[in-house]
Amino acid sequence: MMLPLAEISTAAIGAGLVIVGAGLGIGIVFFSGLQSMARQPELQSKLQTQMIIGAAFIEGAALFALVICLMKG
Amino acid sequence: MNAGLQESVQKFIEHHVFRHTGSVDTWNVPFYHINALEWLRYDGVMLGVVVLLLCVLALRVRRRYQTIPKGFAAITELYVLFIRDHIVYANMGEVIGRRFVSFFCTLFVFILCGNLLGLIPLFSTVTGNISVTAGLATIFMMVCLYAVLRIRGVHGLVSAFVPHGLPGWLMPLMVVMEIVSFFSRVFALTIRLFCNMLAGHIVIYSLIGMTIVFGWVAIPSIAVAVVMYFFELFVAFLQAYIFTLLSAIFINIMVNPEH
Repeated sequence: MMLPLAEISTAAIGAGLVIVGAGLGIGIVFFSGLQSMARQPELQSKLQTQMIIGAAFIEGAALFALVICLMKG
Repeated sequence: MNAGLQESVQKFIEHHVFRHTGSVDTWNVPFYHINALEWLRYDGVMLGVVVLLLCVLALRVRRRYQTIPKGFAAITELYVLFIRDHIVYANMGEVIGRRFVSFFCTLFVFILCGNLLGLIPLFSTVTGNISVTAGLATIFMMVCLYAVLRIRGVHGLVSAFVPHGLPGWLMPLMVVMEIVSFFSRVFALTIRLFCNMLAGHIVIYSLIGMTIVFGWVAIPSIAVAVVMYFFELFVAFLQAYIFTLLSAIFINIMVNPEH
């Protein structure tokens, strides 16, 4: 459907989509973390640990898909 | 960029990233070409170097240990206290955590040394090889099963995979899902560490490869590559911490029944 004269590498499109998802996810995690830290500054160190753990989970999931994209193209 | 340039950059990256895996071809090494630094680009040799470094550091601490430690032993004690209080006891509790403090200390310092030594230009990254990270995750899996067997018994091994408080007809599906989630945790651990280390090196090689493709115009990309080096330093510490922390959390999930 969307193949004009030049080839489009689907692996690169897939990698881009993966990064969109990961970026949104990590952005949401850090957004809510920073908002909570602004409301209650005494929870800063606990929240920071949890934010980093959440970001690592999301990044791990994104890297699965990225590995498949790299293997494909 | 036409296809020729694209291929050459891809070849450059592949040549530099994937040449570090593989074995040393001992029959074909000519004697006058053995250069000590050349051997360190193989991951197997690098693994031995990391283990040797850790053994030397550990023996240094152990031989001179006094009641009030000074110098390097004091730093090691700080490090063990950090792992014990913030990673093991915070997640597994004191009673169960006592057996596993040494395991987590070893895991953390091994991954940290592996990550950091890979940043030196001619050394290869041990943890950037998927076999090494798969081995680490397999060790975690064995420790997890050992923990469940030792603390909860053989009956506990079965009941660790059966979630609590569900209607009877849902049980087989949930058991299958628990087993799948156990293996997916192991797989996630290996791939997270492997990809983070590999991606850092690929980015640096791509940035420096731009000067090959574009010539003089791409000199500022070297400055960006230096910035990426600092970021990779941060990622090295972070990934070691994340691997150890997630191992502790997963062992806690399997050992302590969640009500």
